[in-house]
Amino acid sequence: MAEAYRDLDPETMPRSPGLTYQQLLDADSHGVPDVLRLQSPKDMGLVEYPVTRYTTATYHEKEVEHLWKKVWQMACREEEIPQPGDHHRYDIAGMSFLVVRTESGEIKAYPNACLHRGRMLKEFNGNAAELRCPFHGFCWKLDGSLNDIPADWDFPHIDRDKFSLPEIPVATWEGFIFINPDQQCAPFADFIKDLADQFQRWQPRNLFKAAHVAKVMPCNWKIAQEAFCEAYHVNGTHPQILRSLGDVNSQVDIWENCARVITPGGTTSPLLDYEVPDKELLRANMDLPHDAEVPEIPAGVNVRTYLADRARENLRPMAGQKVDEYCDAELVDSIDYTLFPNFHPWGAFNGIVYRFRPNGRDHRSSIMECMMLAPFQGERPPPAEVVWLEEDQSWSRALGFLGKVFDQDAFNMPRVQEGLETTYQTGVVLSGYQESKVRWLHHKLTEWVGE
Amino acid sequence: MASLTHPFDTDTLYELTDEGNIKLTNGNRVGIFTARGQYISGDIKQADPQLCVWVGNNPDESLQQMSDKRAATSITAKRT
Repeated sequence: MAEAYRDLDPETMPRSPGLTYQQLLDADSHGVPDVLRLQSPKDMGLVEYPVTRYTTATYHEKEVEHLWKKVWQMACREEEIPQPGDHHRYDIAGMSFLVVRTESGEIKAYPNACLHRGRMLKEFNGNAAELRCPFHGFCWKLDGSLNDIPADWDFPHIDRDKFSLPEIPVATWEGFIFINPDQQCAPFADFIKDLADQFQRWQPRNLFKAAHVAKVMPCNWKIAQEAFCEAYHVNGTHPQILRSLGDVNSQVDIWENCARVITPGGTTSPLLDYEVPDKELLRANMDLPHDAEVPEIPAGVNVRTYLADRARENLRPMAGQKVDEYCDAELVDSIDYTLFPNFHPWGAFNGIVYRFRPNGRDHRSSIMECMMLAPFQGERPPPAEVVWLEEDQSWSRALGFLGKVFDQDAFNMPRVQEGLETTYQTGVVLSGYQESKVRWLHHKLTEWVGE
Repeated sequence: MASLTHPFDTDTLYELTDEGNIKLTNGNRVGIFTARGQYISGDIKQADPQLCVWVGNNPDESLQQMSDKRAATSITAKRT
């Protein structure tokens, strides 16, 4: 069992000079919801985590056995399988599962393998009246019960009533479908509780999947994931936004199964030792060239409120008058939640969702995905299909400004893998607070997988 | 054309060239780098590779994947 961590007092704990996130909230032009007033900093110790977690097939195999075969994990969105017969293939670490909408509208999940000779039942997402194996034609109904065995006189040893597809646990939360390969797993309600409590205000079930982009990254899945778990890297990796982002003002909160990093936008990094005029802050925020005109901020309006007002008006056609309930922080800050081990729904109304997975059984490559959820008026639009980027295609090609930021993170990833393969260090050094979400992930990994 | 001064070195301007390289200017000194930060020519021999990546990355908006373009403009971009 990993060593327990202890609560820190937000009033007395060591933190960056400059405003705290909570002090920034005090200047919000709207009422700040309770969920943003929560603080849960943790002292997670200062231990180093072994480099071998990223570099060895042995550790990857342990992850497969003790984590990926045991943990609740997000497979897809409910909106992706709305009709009976719709099915979604979800792969994890060399295993494949089918998530199926049955005739009754229930959602079930099965190992994606024929009970005859083991062939994968469905290679692609789609709709089918039955689950028929393309090898010899064994067939199951959508509810998993056996439907047909061609030339069944030759299988007197099969008890048809007992030859159903094995079901694995399925649960839904806010429009996401989770599965657990472990038929004896702990209840989902306990697993999701911390996260569910905090998302009651934001209700991502009412959003639709407006974009979904995936790419195989040449690094361990934890290297990719950890690039999105702290704001400390902004000064090195994303220097262009330091004038408009309070990177080291970020608030990090740790709970049992989830954690979050909130990074304020529309404020300047305390790492810059000079005053940044509002105009230059806005230029950085809007990614305008150095000689381009910058919009005027009305007198008496602070930058965060100005940016929030713009975001409100951009959202209004889709989200309606509800936007007036959103506080500035919910519109301009990065509220990045993580549910262990690999699911990252952003809080508030950003609609960004990340997922990071091992790429099959290769510990040196991973699958990084970004979904964009968006509000809508009227009938729910169809969900976007996943678009896979080729090795030489940039994230910006698919996701514009957001993708440009990813491309900077992606620029590091293979070089982190190569560096960790090379280093004489045995452990990865992490900061005490700013990188405490990464510490939490490793702490959980120790619990589930071991050292 | 994409351009900005480095927040930690405000006298140095990074600009995208017509050839897709990054031109650094600091007073009378100039340096040319690839969009991955590799030195090509000039008096300035060192650049921040991540700022070169940023300035050199100019996506074609028509290729973007939002199924609803209005959503693309409304969602606050990732900042970290």
